[in-house]
Amino acid sequence: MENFSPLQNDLLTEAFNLGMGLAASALSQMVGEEIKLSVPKLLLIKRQQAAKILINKNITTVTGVKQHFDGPFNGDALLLFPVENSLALVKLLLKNTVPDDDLTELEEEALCEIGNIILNAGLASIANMFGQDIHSGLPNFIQGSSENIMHADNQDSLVFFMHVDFCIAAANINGYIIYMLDAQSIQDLGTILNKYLKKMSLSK
Amino acid sequence: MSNLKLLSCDIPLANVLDACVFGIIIIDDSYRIITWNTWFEKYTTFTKDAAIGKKLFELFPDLINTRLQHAINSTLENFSSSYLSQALNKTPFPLRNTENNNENIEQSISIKPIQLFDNRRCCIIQIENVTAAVRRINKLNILKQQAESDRNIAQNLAEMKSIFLTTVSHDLRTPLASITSSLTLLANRITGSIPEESMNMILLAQKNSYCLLQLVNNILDLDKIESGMMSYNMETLNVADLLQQAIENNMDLAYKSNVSFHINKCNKYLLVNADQDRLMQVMCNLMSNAAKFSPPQSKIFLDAALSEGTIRISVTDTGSGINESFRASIFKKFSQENLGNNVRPGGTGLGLAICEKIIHKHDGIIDFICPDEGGTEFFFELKAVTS
Repeated sequence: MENFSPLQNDLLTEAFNLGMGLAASALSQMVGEEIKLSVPKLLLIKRQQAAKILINKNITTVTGVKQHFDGPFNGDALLLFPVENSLALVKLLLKNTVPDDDLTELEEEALCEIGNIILNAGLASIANMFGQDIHSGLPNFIQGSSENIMHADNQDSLVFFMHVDFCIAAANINGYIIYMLDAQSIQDLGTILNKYLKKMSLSK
Repeated sequence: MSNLKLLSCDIPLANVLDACVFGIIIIDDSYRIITWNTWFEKYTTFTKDAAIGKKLFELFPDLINTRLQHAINSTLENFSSSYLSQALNKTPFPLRNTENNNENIEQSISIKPIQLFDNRRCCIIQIENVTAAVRRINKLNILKQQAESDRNIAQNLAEMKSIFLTTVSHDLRTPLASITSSLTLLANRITGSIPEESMNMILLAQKNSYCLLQLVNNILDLDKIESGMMSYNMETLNVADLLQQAIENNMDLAYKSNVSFHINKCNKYLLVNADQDRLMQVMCNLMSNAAKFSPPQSKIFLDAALSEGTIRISVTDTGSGINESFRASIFKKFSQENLGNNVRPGGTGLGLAICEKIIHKHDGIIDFICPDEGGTEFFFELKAVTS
């Protein structure tokens, strides 16, 4: 298993934050409200650890969006929220027209679109920064236990785990972005990052 | 273009696309429409032939700089799939249902990248008409809101009624208690001799003020129980002692009603865990009802029996039983049987409602039986305590 160096980690965090900026701008335009998104920290950890982080925060059931991506590396991208946070987010974006305490089909689809914008922005940012083509599929709504959703029983697999902060209309809503890659994909990504770093140091 | 015309099984692709029940547009990286299916003829004024070859934003100039265009750009530039939900994008495409008042249709849109054989990047836009689903969900939401509103109104009314009853009863209780005790003193001739005519009036006033006081006390008791403010002092009680005490407490009632209370069967070792005062209140209510509905000189029996860990305590009278039409509402508040000619028995109509709540608080059940041969058995069951 490959661990990324602090420099590689910083590079990825920067790429994701750039992507979050674009996603925030797209969401802001959609809902007519200023939205800020930030990814303060990126962790490369095992799936079990990621599931444990959520469980330790008493987040046993999560709701969110999943979409597959492929290209120079493959995997699944997830945007996850504790159940009440996903409802709060959708209510804010739909300007509180959501009457219920559960997401209906229409609100699930709204969450899918939000997830699609954010996850695509992260991947697009990586793709643009490193000159790669990454293709993502359509988003799917998911709900379940943290462990099941992250297939925590797959012990060898690593994930990029990011805590994302949504700031909308003076409300802060926390969610999590997770990119699940297999071992080969992690290695391939590492190779791409190294090439980029080399290119940057040569150009100085 | 010719690569689009046939699938491997020799079915023209155009036929397949036209058979789809959702809209399909394929555009290239300069937004030129490569193909679109006849689904659009239902919702736009453009025919298929008129649309193909044109640029999408020439046909729909209102789409420029919208979420849809940004999603298309994202797909073409980054080769990522994009999704537009109905909830966040009411009508991204200006599509109207010409068969239904020209209404805008609600849409759910997926945009996926595809590559042509000449490696040109294109995207396929799929549009689903979700108007019916949106209407159904909106109707459901309205019904839910209505139900919630009705529930809140009902709750508020119940609370207001409870507050009103409690406030009024509180304010009535003290003066009523004072009136009752004064009349009792007069009736007992403590204040000196009173002419007989006046005495009859005093006795009548005493009886009615006592009834009013009972009503006020019952209302307050019920309110206390329903609001959870009634405290229960649970202890192990001997059932035989309870029944004996109940008979002694109601001797005056028995005398005035011209009936007699008897313990029929009761093992002297039966024990229950209960609040003595509350259980006595239940016994007094049941015995009072039995006395009220029994003919003169009749016997009313109290029984207690153990069966499978449960003790059943019953009060059985030999009255005329309970009318069929009244049985379903017998435990409801202010419920009183109409004895004919709109005559109702005395009492507050709250006694059995209070009994039910007390027994339920003891995790027991309360019910009654009206055998065909007449009479009524009211009973309640509580878990036995094994010593």
